[in-house]
Amino acid sequence: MNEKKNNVKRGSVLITGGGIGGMQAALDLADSGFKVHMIQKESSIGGTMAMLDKTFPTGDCSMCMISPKMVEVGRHPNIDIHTLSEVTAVEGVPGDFQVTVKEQPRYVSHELCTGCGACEKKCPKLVVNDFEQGLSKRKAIFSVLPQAVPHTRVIDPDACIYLQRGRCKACEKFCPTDAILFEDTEKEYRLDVGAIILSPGLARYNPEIRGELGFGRWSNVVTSIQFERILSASGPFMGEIKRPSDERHPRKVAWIQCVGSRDPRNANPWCSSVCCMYATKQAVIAKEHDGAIEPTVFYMEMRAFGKDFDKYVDRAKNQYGVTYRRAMVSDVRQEPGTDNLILRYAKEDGALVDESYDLVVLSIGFQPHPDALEFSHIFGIEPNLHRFAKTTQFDPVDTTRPGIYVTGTFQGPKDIPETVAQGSAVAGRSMALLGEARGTEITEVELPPELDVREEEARVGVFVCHCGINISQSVDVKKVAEDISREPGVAYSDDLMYACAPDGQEKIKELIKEHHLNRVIVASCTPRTHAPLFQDTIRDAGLNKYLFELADIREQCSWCHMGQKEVATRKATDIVRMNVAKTRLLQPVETDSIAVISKGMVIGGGIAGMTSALSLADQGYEVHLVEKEDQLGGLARNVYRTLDGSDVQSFVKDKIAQVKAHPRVVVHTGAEVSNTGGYIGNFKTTLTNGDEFEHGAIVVASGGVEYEPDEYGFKDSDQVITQRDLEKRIAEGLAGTGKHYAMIQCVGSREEPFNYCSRICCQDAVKNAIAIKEKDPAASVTIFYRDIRTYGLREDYYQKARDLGVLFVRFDVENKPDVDVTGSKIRIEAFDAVMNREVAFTADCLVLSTGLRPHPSTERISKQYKLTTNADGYFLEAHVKLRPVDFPSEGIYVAGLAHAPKNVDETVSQALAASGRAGALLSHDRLSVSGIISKHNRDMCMSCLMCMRLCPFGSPFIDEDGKISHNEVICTGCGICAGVCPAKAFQVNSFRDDQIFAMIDAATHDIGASV
Amino acid sequence: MTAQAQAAVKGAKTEEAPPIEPVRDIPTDWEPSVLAFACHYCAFAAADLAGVMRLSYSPNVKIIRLPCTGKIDHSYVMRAFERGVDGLFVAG
Amino acid sequence: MIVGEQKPLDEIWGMIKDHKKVLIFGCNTCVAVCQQGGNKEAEVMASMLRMRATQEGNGIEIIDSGIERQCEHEFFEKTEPMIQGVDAVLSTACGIGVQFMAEKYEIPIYPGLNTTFLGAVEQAGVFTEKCQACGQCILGETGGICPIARCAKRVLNGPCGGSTQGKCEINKDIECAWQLIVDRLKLLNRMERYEELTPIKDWSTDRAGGPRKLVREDLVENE
Repeated sequence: MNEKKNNVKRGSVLITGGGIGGMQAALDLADSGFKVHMIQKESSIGGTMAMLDKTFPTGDCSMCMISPKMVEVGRHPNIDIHTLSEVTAVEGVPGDFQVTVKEQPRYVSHELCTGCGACEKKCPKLVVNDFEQGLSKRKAIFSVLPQAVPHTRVIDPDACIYLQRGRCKACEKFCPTDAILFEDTEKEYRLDVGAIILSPGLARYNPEIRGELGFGRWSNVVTSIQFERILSASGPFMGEIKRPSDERHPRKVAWIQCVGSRDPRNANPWCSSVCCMYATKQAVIAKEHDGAIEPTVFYMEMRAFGKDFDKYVDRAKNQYGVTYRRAMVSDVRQEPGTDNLILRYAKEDGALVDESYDLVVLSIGFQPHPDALEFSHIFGIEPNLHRFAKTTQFDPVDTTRPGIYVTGTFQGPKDIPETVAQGSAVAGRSMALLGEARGTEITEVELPPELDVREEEARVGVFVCHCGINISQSVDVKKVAEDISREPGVAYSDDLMYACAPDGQEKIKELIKEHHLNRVIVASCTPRTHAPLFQDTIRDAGLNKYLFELADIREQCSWCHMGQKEVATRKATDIVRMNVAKTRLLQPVETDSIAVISKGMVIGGGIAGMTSALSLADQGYEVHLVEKEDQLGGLARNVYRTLDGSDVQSFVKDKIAQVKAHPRVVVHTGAEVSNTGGYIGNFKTTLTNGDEFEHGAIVVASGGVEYEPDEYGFKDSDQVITQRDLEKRIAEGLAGTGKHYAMIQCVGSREEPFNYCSRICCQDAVKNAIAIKEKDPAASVTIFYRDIRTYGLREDYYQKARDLGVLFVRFDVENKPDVDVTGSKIRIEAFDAVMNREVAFTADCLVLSTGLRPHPSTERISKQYKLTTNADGYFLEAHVKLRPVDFPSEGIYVAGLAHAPKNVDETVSQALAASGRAGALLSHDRLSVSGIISKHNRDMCMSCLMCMRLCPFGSPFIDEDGKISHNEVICTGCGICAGVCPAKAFQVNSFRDDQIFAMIDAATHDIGASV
Repeated sequence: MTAQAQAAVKGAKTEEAPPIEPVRDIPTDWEPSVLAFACHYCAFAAADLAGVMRLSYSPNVKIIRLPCTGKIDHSYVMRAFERGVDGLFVAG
Repeated sequence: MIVGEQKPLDEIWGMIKDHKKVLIFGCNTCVAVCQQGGNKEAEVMASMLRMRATQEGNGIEIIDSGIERQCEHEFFEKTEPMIQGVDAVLSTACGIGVQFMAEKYEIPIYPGLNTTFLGAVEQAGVFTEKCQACGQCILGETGGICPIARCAKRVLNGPCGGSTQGKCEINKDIECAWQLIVDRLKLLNRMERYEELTPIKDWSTDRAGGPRKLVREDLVENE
């Protein structure tokens, strides 16, 4: 893994692509002191995830998850976003790359544009909206999405009337800040960086190529991404499900799977790996939006291979009434007069039927961008056969060029959490490469000393923003300022054209000093995006940043009461009054910091644990690797080859040697954790062998175990073996020739009480089948399966197995094969669900694909560290989409089979991700505690334990005195403790009870009754 | 949990309390005054999105931002009703 | 710990409605732990009663406060002026606190709770009775399980004939205490103890001997 060393190490990283994977990498790196240059082709970051309505299998709102990340990236002092930019050349060596960037003109100044949108309103030119997938129109000056980061508008030069025909300039005329730059030109510049991360994301298959499905011809045939926009509350139909032709509510909706995927003749040979699940999600969400909808999914194989996916599909079937029909649709025709669509497909008994649907959604797959080969060429990396970046099973995020890493769908089709995990993984790889240069390219801001205002009477300054005309067109801004000036405690109240513009902020700073203001309110837009900006402004003026409140009178007032100026003005005044009432009572918050012990502990010495430990050690941290067995290697010790034929045994041996040789890795074998005390940054662990050490982070890579079957006569016959046994026999050389090997899939998986897919068994079966056929073409292999789940690029091997003559027989779970072992022959009878008839085989060897189970130690570890597990007993991460390797308890990370069944490359990615996250934490000398946390008053507390029992983060604990204490370091400020405390011993900073009461009273000042 | 405790949970009273005051007719011009407690991360963001999409709703809805709906306190609910709001909306 | 349960609002309203100014007074120890009578509950109850008053057009004034424990004089000092300023108090303490206050003040002190039993916190929100304060503990003989508090019949040499499959005859959800005792003695390898008959209990240390009093001479300050 060690690249050729170069003397120069730069403390900066270039990331191409600001989708979720790139953003994760950027934040991990920037948070740990690296400068990040984010190169984004479009005018806003966000990528594909920003287009999605909800995510599977939890149904979480996609935008709600990604938009805070986008804001965080946009505001991070260590991240520079270069939009409308592309890399044109890369020179240099790992640690010291010279990158040439070409940036297209935006025609709008980032410095001057406040994002008010006046220009967009006045722009006369309408063009097709690509973000809305052509379902609506946008202006020539626009913002890709309402939550765009940066929020600077952009002019589309191909659509702009002025740039095309030399007249118009309406935007320039109406821009209140003179931000339009028609003279803007293309720029080219050089960036020197230490490492490069590729996260360009994906393109989607164009279904027009498959004419029989009618896309582009029949308007009620839409793509799955169009349907995401149809579902989206901010989409073209505002979340109402309508079909494009007549905007009527469709009743019967069909999803057609594998459009452009798994089709080597007409389209892409690979499986896009997410479509089964997103179609299920879309069907479920559609049903939630409109109960009258009858969803049907036409599919070949249900590839619900991920954590909790099978259960999600079951829920879709049983609770939402989604019909799943295993059939290929051969033809879609429009029914004249109704705009309905006639789908032709073969039923399971072979009969052809025509069925009418109101709307058809094509589940289009992923593919590399059209310019993927050129992209690879620019970066000097090798593409694989399918134009994705070439990686190996053992180094899944390393491209062929050292110092250049890849995350997300450019590495192969995958879903959000795997992309996020790879984002953290590439951050970890970059940190390992550039560790010593951390902090060399970032600038620390010097701040004036803070004024002590605690004893002073409140002198609130209120600044009511016009936001151009965004607020002032519906709200009489001057009147609000005037009315508020009479509120008690208000020392200054006035209006401002743009509070967030540089001149507005300067003015606020001056007025704070001039009027000795000690608390500040800006009444403008949403605190979610703008509060941090103004907090910095008042901090510059010497005030504690928690002495600020933002009154949202734009999103939550002027924009939703347009044309009702009197009403809107009154409401705006009420909103500001509520905030004044609270702000009067605000107190400065001192944020504490704690020292971090820059060492890690990794539990588990399998592939995940060893990879994590090595990555952390390479980053420069001492690591304690704890393995309960006497030797390292874990389950992989019994694995010989990966699906692509890579040698697992020598990989494991190599890892073990590296771990043992690494000066910063301390290996503790034959030991388990007996006790860990402390918290993020400051843990102290004692092992069962008596070893004791301190550390700042924990990676739980405790692995899984293989299921030991008692099905199909496994315990009675030596000829019934598992895939693992077979693999060993193949490695040792198969005895005899011309034998018949039968394999049965899903043994002990996908059925209650173990209703989950073990993810590895289809690969194992296909891998072993190919090996048998390659070693002995005379041998025959029959695989009895329910669904073959060779997702992603693994599909190639399924195809290869079939080409080699491996026979696949599908059975239904209600009708499992019958196995009879007598003498040396094994007789297998099954009902072939594809042929629709009974089949019988005689085999020499029966191989069971037995799947995985959680490791028995999981329960103990989960108790030890207060970690939760899912219904199947695997560790539950903090967030299934965006925090795939974090635990809710801070400073603890998860990797490998402990999290869920997965393949070797995925385990390596996740292990690198866990150590990337842990490394970002350990890079800090001190951790600062957030200001919005719950404060515990020990004098009022009578240790009733309600808080401790209900806190999801384990912050309240029983201390050495046997009473409740509160660990503020891991408190997130959610306030559950404050809500349940019968003694009112908890108060959350800036959300204290007296402050909320004051807001309630102010909100009801005109209806107020008795209090 | 012991069987006794399980039984206690099972046997917990679930019947609804009788209404304290009789249901009254709503005058046609009546506009209810509604207070919403919204989680900073989701429901407050949703209210922002409503504005971004220019969705119109009654101006009598006012929102108090909380760090999480876990922060909701019985006393906030009681205080709001005592102060005369007609409806409370806790969203997160 | 003493476990209590709030009385229905109607009953409380009936007690206080004819007064002019009432203090809802929380007790921040046992009954706060069971989330029934602490300062927070007093605050919420006061709020509900004020709304009730508004609905009924009753001009009663209702305020709330609370102290650490209503069964000790010293805690009352700070709230003395507030108590003097009202014409009735609704105490959300257990029966001890209510009586203690009633002895201290010459205004009506009403109970806001039904004091239910001495119990344990099985988990958040689940409380189970474990002790009846009989004054003569035999837990050492019964494997740590009390037949007085946990057997419906208080049988000392059980089980009785109503024990079926480990459950009590009065309710199949209630475990037979004697089954638990036998199981426990087996676990402790002390079944020989089960063979010994427990003599008739002296109930004079229980309620039967009248109200009880305990004096620790060494702690009493001599005036």
